[in-house]
Amino acid sequence: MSFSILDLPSEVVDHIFSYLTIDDHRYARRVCRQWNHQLSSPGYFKATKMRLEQAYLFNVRLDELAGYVGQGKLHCLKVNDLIQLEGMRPALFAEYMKTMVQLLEVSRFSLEELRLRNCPEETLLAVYDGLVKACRLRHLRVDVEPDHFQDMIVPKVPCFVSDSVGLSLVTHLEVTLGNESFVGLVSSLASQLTCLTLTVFGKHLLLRCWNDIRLPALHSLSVRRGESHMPIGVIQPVELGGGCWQMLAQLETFRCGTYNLLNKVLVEMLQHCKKLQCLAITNGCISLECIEQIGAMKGLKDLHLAPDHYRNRGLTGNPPVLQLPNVEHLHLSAEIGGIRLGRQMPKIKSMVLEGLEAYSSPKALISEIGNIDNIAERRLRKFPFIHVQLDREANDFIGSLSVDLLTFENCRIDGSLLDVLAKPDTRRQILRIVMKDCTLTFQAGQPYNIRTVTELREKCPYIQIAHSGIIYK
Amino acid sequence: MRTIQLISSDNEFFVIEEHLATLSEHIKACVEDADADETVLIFLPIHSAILSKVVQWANIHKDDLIPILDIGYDSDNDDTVEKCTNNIDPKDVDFLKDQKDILMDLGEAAVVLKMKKLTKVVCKTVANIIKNSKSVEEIRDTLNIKCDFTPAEEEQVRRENGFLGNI
Repeated sequence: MSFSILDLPSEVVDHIFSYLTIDDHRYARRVCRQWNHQLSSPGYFKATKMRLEQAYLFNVRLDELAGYVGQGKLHCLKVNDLIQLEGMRPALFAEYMKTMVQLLEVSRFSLEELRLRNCPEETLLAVYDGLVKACRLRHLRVDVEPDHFQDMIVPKVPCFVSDSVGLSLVTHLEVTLGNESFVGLVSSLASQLTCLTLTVFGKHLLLRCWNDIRLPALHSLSVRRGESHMPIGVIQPVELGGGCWQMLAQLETFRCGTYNLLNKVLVEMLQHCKKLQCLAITNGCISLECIEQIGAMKGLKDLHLAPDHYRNRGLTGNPPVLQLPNVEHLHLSAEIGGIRLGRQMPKIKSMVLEGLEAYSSPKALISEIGNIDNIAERRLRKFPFIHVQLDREANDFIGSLSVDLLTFENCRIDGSLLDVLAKPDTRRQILRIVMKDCTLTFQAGQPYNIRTVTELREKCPYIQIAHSGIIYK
Repeated sequence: MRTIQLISSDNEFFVIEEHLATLSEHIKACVEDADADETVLIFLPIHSAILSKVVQWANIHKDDLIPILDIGYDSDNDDTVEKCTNNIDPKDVDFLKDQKDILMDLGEAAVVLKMKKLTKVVCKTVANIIKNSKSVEEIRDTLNIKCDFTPAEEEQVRRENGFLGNI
């Protein structure tokens, strides 16, 4: 052998070590002095993120845990699934809690994000202990998974004591509303929160949060439905009160993916959103009035509409026109084919066309987008097509676009698109093209200039194609 | 037609195809300004025996569907996928199987040529060797590392880093 691993540049050795687990590190330290030195120096473990899980904790020595993290390096800590550990090995569990407190104290100057998932109350208490001196924590996430709902009581989240520094800088909070105590957590941080993400399983706790808690600094709200088979209910118009309207009036970002929960109140809620710039409705149902209301929100910069029932309701006859003069980013699902877009969108910078059902065809939407004034001359930053079926008719539209990055992800594409993309004119307008997980179909009896990947490589090396299949009919 | 020639440390010439330029950021940077009909000579501090292997490796990946340098997507940021070592391309496993002796030289060459994918593959392979070794001695043997601990030191390190069953 001419060259030993010890002669390699240290960044390569670091790279190799980065693939190893802490267990492997312990073996490696016994190999030679150099490795022992490299792996035991306090600042070596360059973890900025760390994940503590039940399985992982069984194999790790406690005193090493804090050592590995180094002085003030940890930015993000995730703690998962400690509920079972508590029951099975109480002594071990208590030891870990002690270590975790140390860990949190060591990284008090760097820790910015903390995620706790399925943690028992003891863990949460320990975490709060460790956080007393934390001075950079901004992002807190406390989640409970639905499968833990069935056979066990959802652990209570203790409210934090207000005289400690720990949580006083938290501005981003993500919680699962598992029980009353989670509402209490939101309530205790209410005055400082700017971004709040709620995962809900039922409407009552959500209503408590919206109606009773005053959130003066909030500007971003996301609500999503937790994965559960239990019915979530529908919020009735009378159930929303003044507190809720006040909160909505100050929002700049509102994302909701709660299926039917908000169906009956969405229009009224949107009426109260006076400052909204970013709106995302990712499932549930959108009614005719809702579209009209969105059209009236002239301040919108970012709109994401991907409801799952749309055609079922109201949109026969005369579909409303979405006039959005300030919109910069538009994300539409191919299912809402009945929608009509206004011609004036002078600020548009990027678009996304996404299919939700199995490869829906965005034909109607494409013709709507094609009608936007000067869309062909406009420089778009990116334009992904995701999970849609693109027929020959779509080629002209795609060929006329002027985009920095055009991507096709998980799409079914007619082979003739390659010929269109290979034209020198297209090359001038579209800087980069990426195809990923796509299926290209070549019909028999049709003329194609490019039929194979090798030909594509030769004629247009600027098209990147990955994980894609080709079908010849 | 632009020609790219690599010259090894022992003055052997390798004429390479354009696609290899896309695999190595170093070559790419050298070739970037060249005209279409120019011949580019690149001198490298790499022995011909190693360089020929690098070229051979690049040729294996000539017909990959996935561009090797960059697939244009933010690859999955999840630590588990990123730090997984059993996802090496089978072609690479085959190729590196016979190159155990020069693995480190390949790693060095990959660093010099700034070939990200090759670096990654070599590092993962070495990591796998460490992972799959049954004992510390086996790691030393396979990677040809001399144990430079004194017996007392070795005992101490062993005690510090041994496995603890239950606590």
